Amino acid sequence: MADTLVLDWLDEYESLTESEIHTYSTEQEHNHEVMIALYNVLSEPQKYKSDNLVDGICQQLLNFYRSGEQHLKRFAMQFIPTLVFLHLSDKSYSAVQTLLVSLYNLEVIDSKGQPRTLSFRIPSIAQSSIFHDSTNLEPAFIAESSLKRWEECNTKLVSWGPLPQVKCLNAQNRQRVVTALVFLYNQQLSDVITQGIEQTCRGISRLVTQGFNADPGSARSSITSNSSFQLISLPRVPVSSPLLLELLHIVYHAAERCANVAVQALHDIIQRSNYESYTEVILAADAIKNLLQHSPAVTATPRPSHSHSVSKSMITNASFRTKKLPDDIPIQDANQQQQGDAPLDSITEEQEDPEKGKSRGSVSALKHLPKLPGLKKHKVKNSLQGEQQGDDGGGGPAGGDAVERCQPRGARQRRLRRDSEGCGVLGGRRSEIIYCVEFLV
Amino acid sequence: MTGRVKSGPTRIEVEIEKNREESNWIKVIELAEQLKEKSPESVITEAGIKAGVAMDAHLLLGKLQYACGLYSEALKHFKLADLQNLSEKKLPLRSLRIVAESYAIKGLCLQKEGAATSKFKKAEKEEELAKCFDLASDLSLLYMQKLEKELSSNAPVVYNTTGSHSPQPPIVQKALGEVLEQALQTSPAIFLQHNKPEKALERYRNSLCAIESQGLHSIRLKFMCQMAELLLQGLVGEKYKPPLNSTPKSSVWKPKYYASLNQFIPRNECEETILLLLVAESMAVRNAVLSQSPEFKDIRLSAYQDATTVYDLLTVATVRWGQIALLQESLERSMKFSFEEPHLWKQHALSLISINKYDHALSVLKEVIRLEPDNPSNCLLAAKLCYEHLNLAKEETHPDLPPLNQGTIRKIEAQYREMGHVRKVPSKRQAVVDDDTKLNLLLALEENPITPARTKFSMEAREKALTSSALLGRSHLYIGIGYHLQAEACQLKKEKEELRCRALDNFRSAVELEPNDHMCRYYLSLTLAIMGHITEAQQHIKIGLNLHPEHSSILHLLVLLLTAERQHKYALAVVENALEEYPDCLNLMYVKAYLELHERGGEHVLITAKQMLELWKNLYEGQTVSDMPECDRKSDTRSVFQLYTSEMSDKDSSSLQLHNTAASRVEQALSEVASSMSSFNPRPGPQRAWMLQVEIWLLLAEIYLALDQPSDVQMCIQEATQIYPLSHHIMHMKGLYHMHKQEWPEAKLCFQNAVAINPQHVKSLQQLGLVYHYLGLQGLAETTLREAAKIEPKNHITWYNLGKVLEALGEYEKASNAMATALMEEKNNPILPFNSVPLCFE
Repeated sequence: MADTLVLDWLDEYESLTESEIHTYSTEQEHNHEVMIALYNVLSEPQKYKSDNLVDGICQQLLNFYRSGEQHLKRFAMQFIPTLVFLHLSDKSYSAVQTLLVSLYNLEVIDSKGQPRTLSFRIPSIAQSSIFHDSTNLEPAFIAESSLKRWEECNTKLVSWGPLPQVKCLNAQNRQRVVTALVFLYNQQLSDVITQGIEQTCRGISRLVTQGFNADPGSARSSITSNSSFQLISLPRVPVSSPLLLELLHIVYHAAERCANVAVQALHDIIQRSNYESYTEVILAADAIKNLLQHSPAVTATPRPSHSHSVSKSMITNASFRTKKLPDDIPIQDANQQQQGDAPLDSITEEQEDPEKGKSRGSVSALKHLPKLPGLKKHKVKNSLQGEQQGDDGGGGPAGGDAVERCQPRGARQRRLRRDSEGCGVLGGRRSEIIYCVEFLV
Repeated sequence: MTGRVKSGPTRIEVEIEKNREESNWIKVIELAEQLKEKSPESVITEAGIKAGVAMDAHLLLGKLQYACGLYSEALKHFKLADLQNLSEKKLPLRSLRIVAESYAIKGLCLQKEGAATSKFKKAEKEEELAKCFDLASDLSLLYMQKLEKELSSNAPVVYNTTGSHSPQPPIVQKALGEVLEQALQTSPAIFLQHNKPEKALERYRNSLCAIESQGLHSIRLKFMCQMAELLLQGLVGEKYKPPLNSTPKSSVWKPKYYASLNQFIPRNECEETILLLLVAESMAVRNAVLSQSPEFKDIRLSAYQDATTVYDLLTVATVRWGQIALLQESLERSMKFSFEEPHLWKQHALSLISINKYDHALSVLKEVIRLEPDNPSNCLLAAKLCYEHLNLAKEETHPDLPPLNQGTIRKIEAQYREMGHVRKVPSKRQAVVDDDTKLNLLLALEENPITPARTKFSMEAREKALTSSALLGRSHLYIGIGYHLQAEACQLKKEKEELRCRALDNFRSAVELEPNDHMCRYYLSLTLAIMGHITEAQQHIKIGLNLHPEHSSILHLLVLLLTAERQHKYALAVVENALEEYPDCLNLMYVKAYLELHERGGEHVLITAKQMLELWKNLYEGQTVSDMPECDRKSDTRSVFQLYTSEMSDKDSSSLQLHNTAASRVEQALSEVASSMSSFNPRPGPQRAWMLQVEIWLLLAEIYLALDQPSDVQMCIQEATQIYPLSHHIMHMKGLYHMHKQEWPEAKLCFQNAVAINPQHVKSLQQLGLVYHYLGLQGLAETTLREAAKIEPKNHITWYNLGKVLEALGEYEKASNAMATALMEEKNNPILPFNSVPLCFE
């Protein structure tokens, strides 16, 4: 079925006149049916018996690429990984090899015929940017290395290319050429249809596991296709570490669009890279695995961030910045105690928002809540919204205990504390002091 | 505003509060209805005169309705309040919050409300939704900035002077509040849901460009990670637009943005991603919890998780571009708070290996192995590291051994017992194999208490692989390689043979476990060849070649095997074909040169040697002239996209011979002394590249020697000497030169020098024996040659020379025996020694 569709598609392009090509090219962009058929044919060409089908496809894709139409070029580019996999696992398709070499040679030069390079600067944390102000950084980050990086920022670029043209593929340049092609494919990954990404991920799985299934005891978590039976006799396909890194990029992208196959492909790449002891691939693959396991994907529904309460004795990196004299607190608290109420009240009056107002008199209802900065208000609002956020703030157990211990205090003081929680940094300082007072009393 | 409402019935509020706590929503709504009747609606009617109040009331009512779940009602109120037409003017802090919240709630209501029917309406709604969230986000950011400013201006001075406040981070006291926070986060998410990643990016960027205020730390960190993830996953693609060069226009409803002179403005995705992640890292590291006490466990884990996310993203962003040095710097910082966390430790170890800091990497890996005792791949990594890069580390790692032996045996025994139970699970054959090899291993360990350290890791790996069994074959292979290397370095004949046998056993098990693996075949064949079983080696190498027809090392070994079978023509054809696939492989060219010397004579070889010199120039000259510091250059050569990466990163394809490590150390030490004493300066650039050139010059010298052109020989030696004067190879060559000119005393001196540097150098010993023979020192000649025979018993030249010497001594029977041995051995001798094939791992 796929092959008839492809044959029709081949014929159609043949019969086009020059004036029609432009409209044809825009149509092709949405011609998903043919794309899927092409993916099917190219991933398992031995299933389709028609003569020279692959040759015809390669010829046409090259014509597309060279037609000068952006859409047609993109159409051809999306089959790069599939063609690469086909070539790596079966080198007898000379048309595929020719197509890959042509694409490579055309892609490594720019429109003016100069070698193409892509380069970028490595930002240094020591230089202020649109996202941060370096004067607020901790000294640890303004280290020698980051200053050096700042100095070299505009001169020392990270770059891809220039790459040499190749005459043919041989064992020495094969991996490099296909890696470059997959890299170029990755530049326009977001334009590829989801089915294409899916096929590519399946292709990756096949590529890296081929020849491994026969091993006694090697347990693959799941074998996706029923073609695994015939794989037993197939040889393993050598893949270089840089190629796997580019393939990992596809997998990471795919995790967002078609998670199932992507996870399988990731798993297979991890297995293979562990087997080959490819450090860089393991590094990147472990990172991606950890990301997929732990962080929700970008599009997941936003959950409110929980601000942890910070207990006094907890040490963080930020702790090292400041030092404190031991007798600070008693002195200050004495000041605070005296002038405490009036200014605080006035501030809270102004700061309070509607919920605050309503919950004002509800001291008893709030009694069992840990009265910790950030936490209490969080809960109140949480419930008021009418939807469960499933997020319990997560105040430290120690903090909770501390509050528990100072529960039986006067209502005034408790209110004072609660009010003060509403007023930001300053309030934070004050409530901290109040805690101390309570401990001392 | 609340002040006005507050006077209302507090009792109901208390009730509401209570019910909310109990999640009794129906009751809440009921109560809210009551409350509604009593409070703000009355405000609308009676205070309609005061327009401001009415608006506030509408907004509040809208919020209330939203809380009650009456979204369309709420929207109606927002409409009545004329929210959409509110002019952008400066607002007091309190009103700012109200307006921001109103927009946020309006957005949330629109989101909750049922989907619009027509396509046009849908688009219109989407737009309104986006606008609401956009405004809400900007206003929230502005509100937080203003709030912070106000609080700090009101704060007593004592608290603000840095350095004097309490020893803990400033408490995030004033959070943004649920509604605003949700709006802030929903805003980009909405764009993503509508499949407009470029808009989402814009929104993230706008939020992150705003100057950070207290209380927004965690949201900012989250945003940075999300934005980096969005960029890294390539979802934006060609729609990506870099941030503008000028800072965004400020207006009264926009937050303040970062603007400093000479600030970094990213120009493309990569720059922006890495920048974001570096800033995120600085925040995550600041928040990381160092206290290990159990009461902070949750907080610590959550902070660690945040940091890990940043590091993982940074890994994804840097590895592809070969910028691992940057990553490693960051990971090093993470060690401070990653106590007993295997993930970051492992990442750190891997990054260290990638930037060639092998010693450090090994010690980190050891820790990882301790943390993840069940993961065999860590051990494999460590083993590979030891074999490939830490040749010198053998002695240094010895102290680890004593615990290994006992521990290993015990562990193996435990697993052995365990295996008894699970034996049915794997195939029967494998179980048998496992048991056998385990017994072997046990025996081996008991017999030989000093198992050198490099085998240790592969041993452990094997042990661990027993449980997972996926990497079992690999483990055997690595153990085998370990024994093979030890055998190569070993000097005692008996021990050497034992080590070889052990290597062979392991390679055999590996082949049995993984019949599909070309590496196992390669090493099995290599060991067999070295042990003299040429035919069997041939069989295996041919299977290996079928499995991986383009493997340069397999081809190399095949060529040597063919020469051992006296099929030189065929070998030459194979090597020429192989060179078509690997035009840049110096190793194969070296073999080709020798074969040509044997088959075709000098003229042909000169061409090959010339090609080799040209190749060297192409491949390595760039490296040697660059004045970049060592590590930077390495990062370039290792980078994925560099011109000749495949050739240069593949260390093995270009190293011509397996160097004797001890000898090269001596040479290095001597060179250092020489350079301090004389005018000799080592050439700049990596030594390995220069050593290759030395090898080529020496090859050329040998060719000229064969062509009988002594002056050219001398010039070649001259060239080599200028690069590296104290190499024993050069000394050897000089000796050959003098021998050629029959200058025996000079030749003797040269060979003696070579042997002094490398006592294992068989070629020099052979020639030295011969020189003694010519000088009439037959006794000395015999001992020297016997020494050579001890080191390499299968070398026919030694036996031939020995025969000559014995003949001169008048011991004709012994002489004929030696000659017979030479004849026999010559049959099986390859053109270059088998151990000249590279050590390879892929």
